[in-house]
Amino acid sequence: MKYIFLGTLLILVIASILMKATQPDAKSKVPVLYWSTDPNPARTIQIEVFQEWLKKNYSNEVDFVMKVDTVNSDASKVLIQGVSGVGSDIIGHCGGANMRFRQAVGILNPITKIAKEMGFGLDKTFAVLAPDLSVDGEQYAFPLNVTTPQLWVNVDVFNKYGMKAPPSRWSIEEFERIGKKLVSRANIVDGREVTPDKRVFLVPFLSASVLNRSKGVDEFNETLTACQTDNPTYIETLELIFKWTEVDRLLPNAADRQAFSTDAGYGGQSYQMFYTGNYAMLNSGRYALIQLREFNGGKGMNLKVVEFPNAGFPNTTIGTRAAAVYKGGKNIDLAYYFMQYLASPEYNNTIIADADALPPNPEAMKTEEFLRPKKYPNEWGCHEAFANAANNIAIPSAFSPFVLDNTVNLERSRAEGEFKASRITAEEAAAKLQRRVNSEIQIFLKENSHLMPEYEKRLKIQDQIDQYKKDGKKIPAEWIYNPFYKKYYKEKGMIKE
Amino acid sequence: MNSKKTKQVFTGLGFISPNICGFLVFTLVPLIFSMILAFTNWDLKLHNMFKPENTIQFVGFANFVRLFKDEYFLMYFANTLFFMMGIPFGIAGSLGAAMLLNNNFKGLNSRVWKMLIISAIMTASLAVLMAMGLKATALTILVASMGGLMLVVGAVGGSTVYRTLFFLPSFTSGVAVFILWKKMYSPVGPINIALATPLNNLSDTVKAMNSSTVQIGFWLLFALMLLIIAWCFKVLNHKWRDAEIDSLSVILPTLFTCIPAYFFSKISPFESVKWVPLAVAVVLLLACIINWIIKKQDFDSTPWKGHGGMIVEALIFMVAQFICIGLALVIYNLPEMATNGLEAPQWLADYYWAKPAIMIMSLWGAIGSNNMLLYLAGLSNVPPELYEAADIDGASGFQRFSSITWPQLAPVTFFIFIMSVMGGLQGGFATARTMTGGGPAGSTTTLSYYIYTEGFNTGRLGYASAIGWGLFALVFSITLFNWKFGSKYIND
Repeated sequence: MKYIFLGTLLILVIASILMKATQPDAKSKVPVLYWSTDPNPARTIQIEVFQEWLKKNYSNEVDFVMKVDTVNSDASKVLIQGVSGVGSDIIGHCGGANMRFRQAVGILNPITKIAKEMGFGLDKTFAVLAPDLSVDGEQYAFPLNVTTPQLWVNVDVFNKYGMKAPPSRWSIEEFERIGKKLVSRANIVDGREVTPDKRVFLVPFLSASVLNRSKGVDEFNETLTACQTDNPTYIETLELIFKWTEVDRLLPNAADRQAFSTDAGYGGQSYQMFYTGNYAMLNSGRYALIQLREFNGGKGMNLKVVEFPNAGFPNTTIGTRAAAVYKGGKNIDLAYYFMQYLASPEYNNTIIADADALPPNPEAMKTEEFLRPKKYPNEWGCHEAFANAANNIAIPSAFSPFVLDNTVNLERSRAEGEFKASRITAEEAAAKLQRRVNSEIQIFLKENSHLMPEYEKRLKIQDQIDQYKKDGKKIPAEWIYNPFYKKYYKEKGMIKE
Repeated sequence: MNSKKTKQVFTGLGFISPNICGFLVFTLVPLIFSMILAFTNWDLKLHNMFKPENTIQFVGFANFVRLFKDEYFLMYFANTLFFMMGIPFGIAGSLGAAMLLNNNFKGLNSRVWKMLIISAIMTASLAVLMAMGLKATALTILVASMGGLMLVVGAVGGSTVYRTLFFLPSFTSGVAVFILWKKMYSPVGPINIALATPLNNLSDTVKAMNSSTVQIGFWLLFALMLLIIAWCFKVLNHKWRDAEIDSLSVILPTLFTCIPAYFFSKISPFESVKWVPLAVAVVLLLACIINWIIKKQDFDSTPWKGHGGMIVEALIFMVAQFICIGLALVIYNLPEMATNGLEAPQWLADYYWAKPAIMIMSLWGAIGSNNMLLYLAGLSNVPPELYEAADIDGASGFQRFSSITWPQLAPVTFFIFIMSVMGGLQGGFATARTMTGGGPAGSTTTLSYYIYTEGFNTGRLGYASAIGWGLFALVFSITLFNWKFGSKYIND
């Protein structure tokens, strides 16, 4: 028995040594850096282009290998590996909320100075993205790509049911009217309702935030010191989306989604459902094309891009999938070269060619390759719609410095989830979200007492803003920290520059 | 110690050292560490290797105080307890399976013939249903074929085949099973397809009937509930009179009997009768007390005598009452529900159905679990002469079970119950993570999943540890309670 035991032990030791010896770091003569990111097929090409770019620009100075790590991009893994000192050299984030959370944890390396020196500062990308890339004036990330979600339209679905595709800009009422017409034509055949797996929906989901903003209201106040969801507009929006989901059946509920048996491909189920016509429209960024180009035997689809429905103030969000340098990395100096590559024309060109959302550099959106790719004439007009949205109606998310956005997201999903499950009313959900987020703000301030003076300063400003609004006076621009109100008040002539 | 013995000791230590090292590194040290953590404010956002300026502080019992103020902790604790209501059903299922599998199926005896006939009927029924329009998905056909195949193979191979098949859920990967069940619960999955036809027929039948006729069912179940209450007090009274239980042993069973009656008063659709079950319970209790004051026990009893056994019986009565209430409410609402046609539940997507859906899946897993093996071992230890004596006395099958099998299996049942309760309090993580994400609206989030989300999603390690130790306190106190009264139950 002891020989079996010792033999097993020996095998395990040899296997461990072999595993260690075959790891990329051990095999490579040059440093190997890891980039934790999503399992996007475009990443492989981006890495290949990076290696070429590095060779072309720094062949005599540096030599290292960059590898994509798609299995460690889960938020929990990034957090645990990060605070344990074994994070990936380049950390990919989806949205400013993740960047802010990781910055708060302390695992991101500040890059303002080096970014200016190497040419990947905030001036090299969309100005509105500053809250997604920096905290308190310090830059921590640079965009991998930029996203302005809009509604993709499967024109053939509307044609199939004898309807025209929706207009580029439309009201909430038009959205409801067109949606009702479509689902009634598509889902009732010979007087009988089709089975759940054959059902057609107008769109997979709609952002309450975009609808609220179109009515002139944001979740946070002007100074980002308080959540203000307990208001009639927010409640009305919650009820409207619920009605569209459960009564009018324009949007699928959780059970409807489960009824669709597919769940494969990059980006999950929605793209497949959009292609098969179960979803007439799809809310997504330009990056949807990575998957949509694969459909129909590579021939592409009959597509159009339209704005989200609005109640007077058309808008969409703008966000970024960004890259940041891990503070505990062994090769921070080398990681900066990758960041520099993200601002290069070569990288921007890969984004344009792969349709991996919008390129980090806004100038790259003016090229013919971007607007009218020769290979995909069916997409002409769509790229322009995204560029126009990014330049004209896109507003970044409002991140309060006094609470982490992932905490807000958690509380939002809890409150809205209880409302969707009919556990509480829309009024209660709105009040609960406001109460919980504001109480989290107090906890955050207690844990981060250095923020207290700034918070108190902004509270005083908020009182003044409220008084100015009451008196009908124009509000000084420097008082407003919420990017939505900054743009909204400006367009409504309520701001004093 | 001589050199040979020393060598033997070191050899033994060598063998167990990997396990001991694993236990120390991955269990004992984290256990002690988490206990310390529970009294600190460690938050990964504030205290980590990149923030040396922030020091972790000792906060005493602040994390534990926060537990009781945390509305989500209480909600998820309630969810955990709700899931544990499935434990008795799981135990009953594994006992039933063990008793079935304790039989010998090999050879073409009458039992095997019966099973073959049942297989044929099942196959024919499926064919008829498909011919009549049952929408057959690949999964439906697969499940039905597997059922038929199991019966046939079992009939040929004997009980070993069945034992292996029943034990299948235990050695199948949990995630694979959860994904399969998720597909089964899909609105277009085999469960809902199978339910569609009977529900349509029921809907038509209900619509054709007068609503007051349907509601007779409500009143019958209401009457049955009153009968169960009366029966419970009758048992209590008899047991007390025969000195099988002590006066103190009446308290908890009485409480358990009254809980459903109180619950009924809160949800009764008829205002006039909402207090009737509770009133009946109180009147019967008073009658029992008066009887006990006037009369004396036939024999002497010791304090808390028969407590464990009576609690088990009272729990069974309680569950029976809840079933009556549930069915009565369903029947009451049936005419309204049938107006637009009865639809199969949305299972995992519905707040109210998600928990029962997971409980049904757990029941399936529990029937063929280690518990079944324990019962099989227990059954083989029951002396056959007891059954022979019972046969000579002309005992029925039920009497053989209630007077021999059940008491003889009491120690096994007690062990299974304790382990199931401990497992139940700590369970629910894998299902929540794989099937539901803890939703809808937190309805399937258990304490173990909450610990994970607090620890690794929000980074509050101190608080997550406090939840963990709060959970431990619950497990420990319930186990103590079980030991105190459960051991009495075995000895009774």
